[in-house]
Amino acid sequence: MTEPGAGYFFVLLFVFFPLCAGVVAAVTGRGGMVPLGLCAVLSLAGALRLLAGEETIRLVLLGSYGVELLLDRAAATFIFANAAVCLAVALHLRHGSGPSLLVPVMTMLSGTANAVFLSYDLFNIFVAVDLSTILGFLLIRMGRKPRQIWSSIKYLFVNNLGMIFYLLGCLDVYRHAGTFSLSALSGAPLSAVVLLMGGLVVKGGLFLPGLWLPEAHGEADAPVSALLSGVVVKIGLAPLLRIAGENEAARGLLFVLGPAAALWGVFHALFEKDAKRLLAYHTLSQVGFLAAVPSVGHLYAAAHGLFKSWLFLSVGRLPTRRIAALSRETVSRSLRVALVLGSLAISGCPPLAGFGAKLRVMGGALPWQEPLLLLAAVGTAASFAKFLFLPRKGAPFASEDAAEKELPPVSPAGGMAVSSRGAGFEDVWLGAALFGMGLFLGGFEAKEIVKALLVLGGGWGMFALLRGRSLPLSRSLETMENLVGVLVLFLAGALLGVRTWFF
Amino acid sequence: MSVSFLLRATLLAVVLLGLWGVLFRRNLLFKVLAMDIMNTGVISLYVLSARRGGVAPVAGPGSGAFADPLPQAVIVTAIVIGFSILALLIVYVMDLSRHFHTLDADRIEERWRRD
Repeated sequence: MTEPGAGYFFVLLFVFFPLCAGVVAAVTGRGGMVPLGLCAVLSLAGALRLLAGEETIRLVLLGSYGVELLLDRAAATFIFANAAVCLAVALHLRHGSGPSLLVPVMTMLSGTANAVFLSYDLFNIFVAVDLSTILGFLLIRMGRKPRQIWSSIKYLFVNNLGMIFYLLGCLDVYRHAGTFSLSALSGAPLSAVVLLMGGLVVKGGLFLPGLWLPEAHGEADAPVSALLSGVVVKIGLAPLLRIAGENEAARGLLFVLGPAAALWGVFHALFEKDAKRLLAYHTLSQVGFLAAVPSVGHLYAAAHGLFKSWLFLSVGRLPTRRIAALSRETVSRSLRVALVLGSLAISGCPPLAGFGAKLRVMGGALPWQEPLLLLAAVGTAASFAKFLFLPRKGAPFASEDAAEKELPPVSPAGGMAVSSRGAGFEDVWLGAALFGMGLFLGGFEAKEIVKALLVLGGGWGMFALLRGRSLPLSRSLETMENLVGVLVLFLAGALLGVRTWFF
Repeated sequence: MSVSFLLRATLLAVVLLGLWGVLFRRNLLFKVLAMDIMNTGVISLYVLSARRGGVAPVAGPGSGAFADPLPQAVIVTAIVIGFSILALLIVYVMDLSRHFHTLDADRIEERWRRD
């Protein structure tokens, strides 16, 4: 099935169908979660078929000067992650009553994300990424709380600014090579590469320019956060990985940014007391793992999509988002199991998908990256120990630190009403997918398993040491002005850094 | 110094001017407008770089002198996207001002933290 016909079929299935289904659902206002679920199941089947086929299909739509698409294993893996997360969110929304536009916008977003994953053309990526920014904006403010409106405006503003720089980079590439194809990037001028990456780094939530992420992901409603962390972040990262595959300077930049982001996110997460912001900071850090080794980033992206969306959906069902206050609440057993499995997966415990994905990343890491990533992995285990060792019900609620009082008032973590209940189909599906992917990735050698368990043990030791301590970390970098300033400084710094190292 | 160089320098200055506004204006509405100025500057740069010989495809003979149609064709999409984002931002900034009673980004941030 290597003829272009099959390729066109896949494009219709992955991109055209979800967009149409989303528009139809938005106009008619019917269907509940069916459009999202249906599109997810169909893309899942298509992605698995592509992954099983092992071949790469390259399409050029509309002849020369046309739009180039590449259906390869990396794209199929990203599409698989997108479909898996969307299916889980659809199953989660089965009972709840969300705003009427929620499911249509999510469906369109899933199609747009697939378009980005397939594109091999700078301008096409720009269009799809910007469309996803608008859809993401609508999703963040879907709960209609004033807090969400400010976060969403910040998100739209900073992301759009990043894409203006990206547009400048596109122009530079075009003037140099006469085409927008990504394959022209190997000889592209340095300034162009840095501008392109600047825009995508913002969108992908990578390191400092991505600091809009904790706020937006923390404020949005639980199903939306799951989609943002599982899918929208990858919309920026997938093209970054592709650019890094073509251009040496881009690869070098990601080698540095990855571990830096991993450590920064973990450091903030260690002292975070709010369950949703904790997960958001971990997205910041996991994205670093993903970018640190561009050649296997897609595998880590799929694993991260699965466990992070599961964690967000589970935390959304907790009665409160303050971790310390959970001792006064009842947490049902099935929810506890979901939280524990998700936390073990993100900490890299075998045989879940996080183990195999971390193994691939560590295997491909440069010698100087490895200790940094290992440290970040230990920190991840330490901060997720908060969910593993939840205070027992009835334990004294000790909260002397002042940071505790600055948290928003106790409110259910998920704004959209989803009744408190036992394990749903989404838990079963995500758990099965995590186990299945873990088995598929393999790597169960005694040495590696012992290493993973040591990381876990080290993390829990660190948790015991840090328990009850708090460190008031400044969040001033997350204001709108500082986000823009950091982006500009990042562009200048990246340009200088890349120039001194490579040329 | 050619006309094309002067035009390019002017347009880059427009982009930088927009960036200055985004960074240093405190009023949210002006920030949004400054971002649109940046966007317009970039779009004009596309049109300028497509100029080449400066002859419209139907007007003159020869292929080298034609303006390059591709950047002009693709930039239309960017114009539409920029316009829709501008519209969305302005509407929601207005919505925000109703809640916080100010358009000063710093003050909104402060109150947002306190809420």
